[in-house]
Amino acid sequence: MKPNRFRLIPVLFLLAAADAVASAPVKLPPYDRAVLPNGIVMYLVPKHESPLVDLMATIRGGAESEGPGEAGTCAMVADLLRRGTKSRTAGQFSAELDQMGARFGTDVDAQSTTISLEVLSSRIGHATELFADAILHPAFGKAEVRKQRARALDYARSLKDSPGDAAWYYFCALLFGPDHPYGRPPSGDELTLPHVTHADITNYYRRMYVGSNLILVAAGEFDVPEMRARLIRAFSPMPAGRPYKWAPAIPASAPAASRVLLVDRPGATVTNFVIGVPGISRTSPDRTALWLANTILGGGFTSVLNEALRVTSGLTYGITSSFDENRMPGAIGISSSTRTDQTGQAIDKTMALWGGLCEGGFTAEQLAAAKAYVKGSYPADNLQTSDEVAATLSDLELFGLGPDEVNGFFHRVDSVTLAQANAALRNHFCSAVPRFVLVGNAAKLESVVSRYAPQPVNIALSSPGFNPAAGGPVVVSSAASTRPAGAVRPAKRDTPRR
Amino acid sequence: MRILVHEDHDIPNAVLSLFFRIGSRNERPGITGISHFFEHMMFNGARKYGPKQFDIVMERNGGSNNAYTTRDVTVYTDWFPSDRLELIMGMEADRMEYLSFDPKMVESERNVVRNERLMTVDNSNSGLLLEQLEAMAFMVHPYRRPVLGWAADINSWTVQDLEQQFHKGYAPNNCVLAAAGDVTDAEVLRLARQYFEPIPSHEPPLPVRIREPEQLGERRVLLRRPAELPLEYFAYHVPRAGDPEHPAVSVLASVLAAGASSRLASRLVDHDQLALSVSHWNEISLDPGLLVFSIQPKSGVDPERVERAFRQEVARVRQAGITAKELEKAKNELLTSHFERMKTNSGFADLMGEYELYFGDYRRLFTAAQEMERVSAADVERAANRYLTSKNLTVATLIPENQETSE
Repeated sequence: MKPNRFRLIPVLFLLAAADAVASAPVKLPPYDRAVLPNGIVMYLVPKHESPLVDLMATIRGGAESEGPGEAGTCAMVADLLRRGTKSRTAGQFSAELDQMGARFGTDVDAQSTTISLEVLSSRIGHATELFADAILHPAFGKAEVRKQRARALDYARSLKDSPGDAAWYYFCALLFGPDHPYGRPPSGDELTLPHVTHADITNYYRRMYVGSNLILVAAGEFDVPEMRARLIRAFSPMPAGRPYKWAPAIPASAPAASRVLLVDRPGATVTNFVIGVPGISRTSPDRTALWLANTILGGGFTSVLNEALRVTSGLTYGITSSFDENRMPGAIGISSSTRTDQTGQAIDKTMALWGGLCEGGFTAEQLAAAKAYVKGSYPADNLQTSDEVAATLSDLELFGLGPDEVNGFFHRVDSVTLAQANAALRNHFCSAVPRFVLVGNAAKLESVVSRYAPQPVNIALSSPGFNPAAGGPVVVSSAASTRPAGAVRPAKRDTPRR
Repeated sequence: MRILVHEDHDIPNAVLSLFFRIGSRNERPGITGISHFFEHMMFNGARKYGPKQFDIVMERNGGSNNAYTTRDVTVYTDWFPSDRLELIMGMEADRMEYLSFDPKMVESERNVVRNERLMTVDNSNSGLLLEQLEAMAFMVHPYRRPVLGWAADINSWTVQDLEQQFHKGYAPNNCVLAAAGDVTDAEVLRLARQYFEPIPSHEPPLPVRIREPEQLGERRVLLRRPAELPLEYFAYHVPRAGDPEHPAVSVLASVLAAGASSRLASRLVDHDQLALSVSHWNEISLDPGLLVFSIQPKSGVDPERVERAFRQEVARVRQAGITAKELEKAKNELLTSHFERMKTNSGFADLMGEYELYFGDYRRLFTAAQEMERVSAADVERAANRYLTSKNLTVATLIPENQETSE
């Protein structure tokens, strides 16, 4: 977690802190990029830290490519890839995969589906064949679709058993609303999954799983010419199709006053809360400055928020702020949990610190510390392992960013001025009214939440889905009750440490 | 102090992990959780780096850190740009020798741990069920106590308890230091001599002599809590890490529960469609621990049906053993997991420390694959018959309170 306010620190330490961290070079490892005749963009990255190979296929689209009533289609398609192909039953596919000790996984986010496989280098031939079979020839058998829908529904229910995760989904629903693709969980929920038909699944697959919409990366221990030939052989039969056309960006809703959603978890001794505002897109020119601003507010252990709420007062095990890095502007959110009877105190303190930063801005010392922290953790988070490198290259290709996104990263961080960091703070953390989600014992929280918005909406955790409208009308108050809290700054959401 | 170094110059970063041979296993009733609380206090001020400064200086220099406490050990890990190695070694030495306890920091940190317990146990059905399971599966061994400590003990830890913990556990002779990444052996050794060699050694913690008596019959825990889905744990006592039978138990666990084609997943998730997911763990431990299978029944499914199917699969492996193909599959799965952990600097440092502490020699890290290769199908069948007995079983079941299920 994060740093602290440096003005409280003894002079001696300030002198030591003035020692800037040397910027050791950080750059992408050597790689080979090619475009196959059917449009597949293929990257090969030889890397030798362990006798493993990682394959990663990225399909453009993700949650944004689904209609409002069909959330979960994209994830259902991805989950069904291994549940039977034209030549293998689901059982045969799993048996062959497991026999090699291989790991196969899929993930759906706001703008893409990722299919990944990790395997011992000695098994890469057979593993590539299986990987391609799942992506090129899934059978979508009716029985498997039924089974998968039942599993997805139970999975959606089980999200409610992790209140911290659930709080985040409620927050996205509140911030973006049900018509925005970011307002619903990418895996679908109890309200949408029953409507995903077999035809929806096969249509989605035919439209999206085409060469011109696919990014393919292999990273790890392999011979480059052999690996290239193997991937070309396996993926050339894929039809070129047409690339997915990105949807026009939709802004998050912008209510005039703050809104509170109180999700009742009867008997809970802890409140999980998320407070946030609309953020930026992955390619926003403000992204580096915002990253630094978020780091100061709630990114590391010594952030302003963690210092006050964990280190100094023990009100929580940890508090972090984070921001989405998606194609359309995403969310900025502060999340934490605290004892039910300390909920008001914790949120008041959060709002006061946030508001204080919005008013006073950052200090040069805070910015210098954030720069060192961000640069220090970047290589191990993005470039260390084969799967990290594969994910980093896929990300650059998906968002149309060049290699300079990585190779010039330290330079861009170093170049952010205090004025730019403060502008990022003002423009993104301090300009919108915040949305609040609390998951906890509603009977004991009602008087607390009324401080943040006069007409909080109250729903039960057990009611289906995450959309507050499902539990009753969302009341948008016209009174400006809570001052815009200041800033949160993006980073990935992290679990508290230690 | 034992020092292990792994060089890897791919990225300009490195990791230090310090393993102290002290954990909740060394605690006595009334002060449970003190090892974990002490771990938190290690960040709250020593001589050169006073309260809050450890984290501030570390992050200001591009570093970050984390720590964890287990039943057996307490481990501190630092991630940092490799040109900061000397600074980090100096910071670790400062707190190893001169940790101090500011009463104000003790109280605020106590609240942090209360919140940690609320979040990971009280507020988590899986955390609560696991705590109940372990307290039931062990009658006398300290593994029955939660690493975080019982709630009442958290309220009563004293500064004297912390000081005793410091004197018992924190000296170079009770520590293994593992470094991995963009460093050299020579550099790490030179700095270790400079910073750690002058620190006096202490008497190590007293040996833990207590042995869990053999379990004489099945044990059960039933929890009713608000929840969306039920949850079931099935736990068996198994040998410690380093025991000659440990590799056979790992293979057995993998055959039963690793991957969609495993015995339990193909039966419960795919064929019978009774469960949403199946997983297992067999945490390495200094004393004999538990092999736990975790099964999440689907909504509306009576956990008894899941248990019946689980028992049938266990009986099948005991009666008929495993096939040659399953043996090969499990070995490939375990080998892949092993190599996966070597991918990151911190994973490698952790592995070196674990092999040194739990298996008695870090070099066994490099022969682990061969040791596993020697496991035969007969070894696995023997392990199944020895350990997967109902007499040796503890079952913990969580039933959603709002759901009607027969008992």
